[in-house]
Amino acid sequence: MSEFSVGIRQREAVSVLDLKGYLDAHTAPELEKAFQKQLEDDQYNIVVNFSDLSYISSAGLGVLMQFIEDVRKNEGDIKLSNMSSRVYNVFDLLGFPMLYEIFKEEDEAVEKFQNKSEKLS
Amino acid sequence: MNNESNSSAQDIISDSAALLELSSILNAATDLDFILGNILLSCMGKLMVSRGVVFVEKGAQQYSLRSIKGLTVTELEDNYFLPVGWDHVQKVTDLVGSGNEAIRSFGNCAKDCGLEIIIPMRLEERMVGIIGLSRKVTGTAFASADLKFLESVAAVAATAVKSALVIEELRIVNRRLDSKVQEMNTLFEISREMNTTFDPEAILRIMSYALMGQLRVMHYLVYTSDGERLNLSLSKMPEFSIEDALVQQLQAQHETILFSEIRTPENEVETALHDAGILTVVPMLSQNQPRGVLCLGARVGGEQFDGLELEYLHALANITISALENARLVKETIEKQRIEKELSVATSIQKGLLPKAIPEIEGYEIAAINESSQQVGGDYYDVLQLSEHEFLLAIGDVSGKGIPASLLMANVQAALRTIGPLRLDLREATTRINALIYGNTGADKFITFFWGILNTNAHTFEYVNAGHNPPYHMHGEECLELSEGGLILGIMGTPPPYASQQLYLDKGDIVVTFTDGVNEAMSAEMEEFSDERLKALVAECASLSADETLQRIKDEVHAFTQGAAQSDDITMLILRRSP
Repeated sequence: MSEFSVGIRQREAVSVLDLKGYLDAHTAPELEKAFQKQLEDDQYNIVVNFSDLSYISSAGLGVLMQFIEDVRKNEGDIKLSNMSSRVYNVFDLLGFPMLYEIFKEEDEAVEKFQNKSEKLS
Repeated sequence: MNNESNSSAQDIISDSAALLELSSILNAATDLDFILGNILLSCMGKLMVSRGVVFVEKGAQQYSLRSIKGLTVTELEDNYFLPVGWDHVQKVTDLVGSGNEAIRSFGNCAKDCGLEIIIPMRLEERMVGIIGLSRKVTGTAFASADLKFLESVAAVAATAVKSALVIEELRIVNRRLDSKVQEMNTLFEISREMNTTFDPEAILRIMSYALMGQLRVMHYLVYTSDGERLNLSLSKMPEFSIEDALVQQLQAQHETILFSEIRTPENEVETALHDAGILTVVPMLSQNQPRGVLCLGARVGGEQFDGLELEYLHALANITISALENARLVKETIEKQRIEKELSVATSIQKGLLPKAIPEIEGYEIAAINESSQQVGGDYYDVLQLSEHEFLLAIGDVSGKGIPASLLMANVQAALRTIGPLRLDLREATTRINALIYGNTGADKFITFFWGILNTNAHTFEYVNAGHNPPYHMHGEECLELSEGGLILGIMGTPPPYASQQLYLDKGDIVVTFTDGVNEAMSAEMEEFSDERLKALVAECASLSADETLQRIKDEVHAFTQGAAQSDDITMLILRRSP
C-alpha cells in the first residue's frame, strides 16, 4: 500500500535520508519515524535527498517543520537537496525556502555541515 | 557650420546605434528589472548622468518605484499618484510649480533627491512608466538633441516595459493559481485521509501536518466540545496554561479572532489567550455549529495570514471537527451495539438460571415472577426439592448489572445447588456459600441473599437472611419481618456467624420475598414505592392465594411506576400454606 520509503545513509557525521515515491498525509508517518530515529540516536546533522521523490504535499513539509526546532536547538540542521522542480515548487509556494537551506546537490549540503564542524574544531 | 552639421550627423548615427542596441536587448528580455536597469544605464551612459530612477504603472495612474541607479539615499516614496499623460520630457522645476497637488508633491520629492527631468514612457495613449534623471555630471544643461534621444529611448522602452509588466502580472496570477491548486489538493488529501480513520489521534495528526506544513504554525491547541464542555484535545504549547473557566467561554465562538495591532484583546478570555501567545482563534464548525476552537501561536516567519490562508484555515478546522465528530458517532454506535449485545447475552444467561418449573408442594402454593428491566439486574430465585417433605426456597440480588452480574448469579446458583442438597445446617451452609462467592469474586461484588427450608410435615420454615430486604410473613393478622441472619454474601471471607430463625406456618400464612426492584420502584415523580406501602399491601392480601397476591403487588407497582422507566428487575417469590 505504502508508495513511499525512506532510506538512511551515514556520510561521516551526516545522516542522509533518501526519500522515494509519494509523500503525503498518508505516508508522512514513515518520514516521521525516520526523523524520530535520528533524534533518538542524537543525530542532528541531517540532509534530506529528494532525488527519487515524485510528489510532496504539505503534510511532508509538516514533518520537516515538526523536527526543525529540536534539531536546531541541538545545534544541528535539516538541509535539503536534489529537488525536482515539481517538488521545489511546493516548497516555494508555501514559503519554505526562507526556512531551510536547499541545495542542488547532496554533496554541497554535506560539505556545508563538514565546513561548519571544521570551523568548530 | 560644416563642422557642426558633421558632428550632429555623427551624433545622430551614434544615437541610432545606441537605440538599436538597446532595442535589441530589450526585445529579447522579459525580466522587468533587467529591462529597467538597461534603460537607465543606457540613458545615464549616453548623457553622462549619475543618478536615475524608473517608476512603472501599477494601477490606474499609480506609479511605483521599481529601479534605482546611483541614488543611495532616496526621499522617494514607493508609490505615486500621477493624474497626467505627459507627451514629452518634463522639467522637475515645472512639476514643483504645478497646480495639481499630487504632481507638486511628486515634483518636490524628485527635486529633493536631485532629479532634474522626467521622461514619460508612452505606449499609444497610456503612460506605462516614467524615467527620472539627475543633472549631467558635466554641469551642462540637457540639449534638445539629448531630450530627443531620451524620448526615443522611452519610446523603445515602453513596449518592452509593457510586455514585461504583462508577463510579471501573469507570473503572479499563475503563482496564485498554483497556490490555490496546491491548497485544494491538500484539503482534498486531508479529507480523504481523515475519512479513512475513526481514530481521533490520527485525525489530529493529519491536521497537525497541515498546520505545520501548509501554514507554518508550530504551536497550537485544539479544544473540542463533548456537548457540554470544551476539552483540550491536543496541545503543542507545552508552557500554555489558561484557566478552564475562561476556556469554556469559547464554547459558542463563531467568529475567527485575529489579534493584531488593530485587533487587540477585548475581554478576559481574549487577554488570557493573547498573553499566552495565541494570535489566532479559529472556530471549528460542524454543520455550522461551533464544536471546538483551534488556537494558533505565531507563524514561523511571523507574517499574518492572508485571505486565502484564512479560508484554508477555516476549511481545515471544519474538516477536522467533522471527522472527529464522525469518529465519535461511530464509536458511540459501536459501543451501543456492544452494550445491546451484552444485555441480550446477560438476559439469556439470567433467564436460563431461573427455575424453568417450580415444584408442586402439597398443601402449599408457590408463585414467582422475574420481570427484567432494560438494564438486566442480577435478581435470582430458586426452589429445590430436598426430600419428600423438604423444600429449599431462595431469593437473591447480585450487585451490578449486565454480564458480570449474570455470571455472579450463575455462581450463586451453582453454589446453592451444590451446597443445598448436602443437608448441612442452614447457618453453616450460608457460611460456605459466602466463602465460595468471596473466593470467586472481588470485594466489590456482593449478593443480598435470603433462603429457607420448608418442612411440609412440621409446617416449619427455617431461614437465614444475608442482608436481603426482609421478607414479610403474614401470620394471622400479624405482619412479621424476616431479618434474622447476618452479613451480605461476598464482602468478607469469614463473616460473623450467621443466625437463623424457625417459623411455624399456620394455614393461610403467607411469606412474601422480593427484591429491591419492588419496594424501591420509582414513580414518574421520583417517589419510592417504599417498604411501608408494600407491607400494608401484603397485609391487605391476607385472604388471597399466592398467585393472586403476586398479581396484586405487581399491578400496584406497575400502576405506581406508570410513565417512569423501570429501573430495576422486579422479582418476587411467594409461599402460602393453603387454608
